[in-house]
Amino acid sequence: MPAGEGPPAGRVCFVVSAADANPLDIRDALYSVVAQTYANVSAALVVDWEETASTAQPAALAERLSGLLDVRVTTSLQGLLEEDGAGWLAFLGADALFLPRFAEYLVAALRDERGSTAAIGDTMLAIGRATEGGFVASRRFALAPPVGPGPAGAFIARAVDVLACGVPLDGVDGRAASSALRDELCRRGRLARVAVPLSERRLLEGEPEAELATAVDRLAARVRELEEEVARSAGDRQLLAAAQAELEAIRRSRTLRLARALRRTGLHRPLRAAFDRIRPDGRV
Amino acid sequence: MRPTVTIQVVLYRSARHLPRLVAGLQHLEADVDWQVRFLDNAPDDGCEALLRRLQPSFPYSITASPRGNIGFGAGHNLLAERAESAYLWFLNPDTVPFWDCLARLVARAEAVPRAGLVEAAQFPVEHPKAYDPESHCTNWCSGACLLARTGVFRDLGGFDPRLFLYCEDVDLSWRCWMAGWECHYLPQARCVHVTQEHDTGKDRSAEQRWMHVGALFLRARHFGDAEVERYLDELSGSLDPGLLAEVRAAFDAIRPRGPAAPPHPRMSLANAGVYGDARW
Repeated sequence: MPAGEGPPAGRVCFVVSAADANPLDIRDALYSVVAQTYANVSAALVVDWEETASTAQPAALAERLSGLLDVRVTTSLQGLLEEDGAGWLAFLGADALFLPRFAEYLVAALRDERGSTAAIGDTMLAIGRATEGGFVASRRFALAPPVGPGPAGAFIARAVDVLACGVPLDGVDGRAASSALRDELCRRGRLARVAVPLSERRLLEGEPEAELATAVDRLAARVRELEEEVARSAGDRQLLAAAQAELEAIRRSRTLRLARALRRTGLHRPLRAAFDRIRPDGRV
Repeated sequence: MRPTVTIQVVLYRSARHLPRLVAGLQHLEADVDWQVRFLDNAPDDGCEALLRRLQPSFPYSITASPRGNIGFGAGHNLLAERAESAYLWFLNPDTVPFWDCLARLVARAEAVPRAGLVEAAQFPVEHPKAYDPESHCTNWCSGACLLARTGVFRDLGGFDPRLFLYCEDVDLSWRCWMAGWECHYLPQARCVHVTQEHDTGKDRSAEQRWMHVGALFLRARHFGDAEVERYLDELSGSLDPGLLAEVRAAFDAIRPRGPAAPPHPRMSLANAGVYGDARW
């Protein structure tokens, strides 16, 4: 069970790694916190792993948004979390955005599933161009959340669980820190999933094929994991039901959209093959 | 001389959005003379008192609607009657403009005299309608965050007041194109807009009804009766009969009569709700 028993405080602190990020990306990430439908939010910009990184630009952004959003700039995520007092922590890469319902849906999922230590939603992969004012999407795809080893997507966790899990948060690449954190939280409990797009990854045109291939591989790998879980779960009704429910959620919410989007690249075939093994009732 | 802008906001039970909107407006950075005019379509909803408590640092006025909820387009028309500025900036109450949004919109309008309407990109989820990345021209502009030349808006007769909610912006844009002006989408200008789709917990039944009424109105005015009948056929296969009857009744009350407008390449019914090519 997670360490965070009992009702935690309500505020969600959105942690954004800002060490090597484009200021326009950080600006957009902060405005995506402003757009949250969850009422009680704040943000933390972390500049903590690159010796040459400066806090000047993040601090200027924080100052510019003061009154609109409470933004703290820190060189020590660990120190900030110990002082901050937020009930929930949301993590995001700086080339990504939180979609408006991110905190509302994922906090609800963690409240509902008390055995879960982290919660994650679907991701929109937005492919577009860099403009003078930032990123403009020209294509968007719904993707499954990243699972297993690799960079963490956007996720949320109870602050007490994050602080209790002992993962070093300072002195490392922010993305590596959040991936390690996500992995450790998952090791300690379940990952609650919400089959609704709740975050957005941004890629410039020219990059997408490799990213999509990775996404397909990741999704196909997760389907294989679930197939194995179903096969192993003959005597475990709870495991069987959970695996089948996730398979069904994947089948309903993502397969067709993703496969259509990938058809022109030919990358839909491995994904389609994986999903063809899932019968309409969710069984493999 | 600095450009002048009247920022117009039509409120309707918008108290939960006002603090963020006011904070966003206070963060605007623009070499522009601007003021805000609110019209409250639900004068008993406490927005006026809330505004007083928020003590905005910018000049503003708030007017109670004289006839209850007169709708989005009629509300903006009413506010625009008194405007003396070169530009009108229509802002939804559920928006938060980026600090440079107004400056970018005005700069675009000043640089391109043929642009009658200039729309900001909605954030974090952009609208999927296509635009030309070179010229920025687009078939229509959303009214959620839209800069209009005051003279053009008045020459066009403003929003059609028969449209209570939705599609009045598409209709205005198409009339703008037909009058020889251009509609521009400026992706560098951004405005937070938590759209209806993301505004969880809200009863959207009225919005759905007006969306269909607006879609029928556009077809009747710009495409003719055959497109109206085609859309009604689609609705009869998908809508609850009670809701369909409400849509029909509301549409019949405002149905444009006479021949449809002459065709224009910018008027399109492609991609439901997008009215043209979609980027995704």
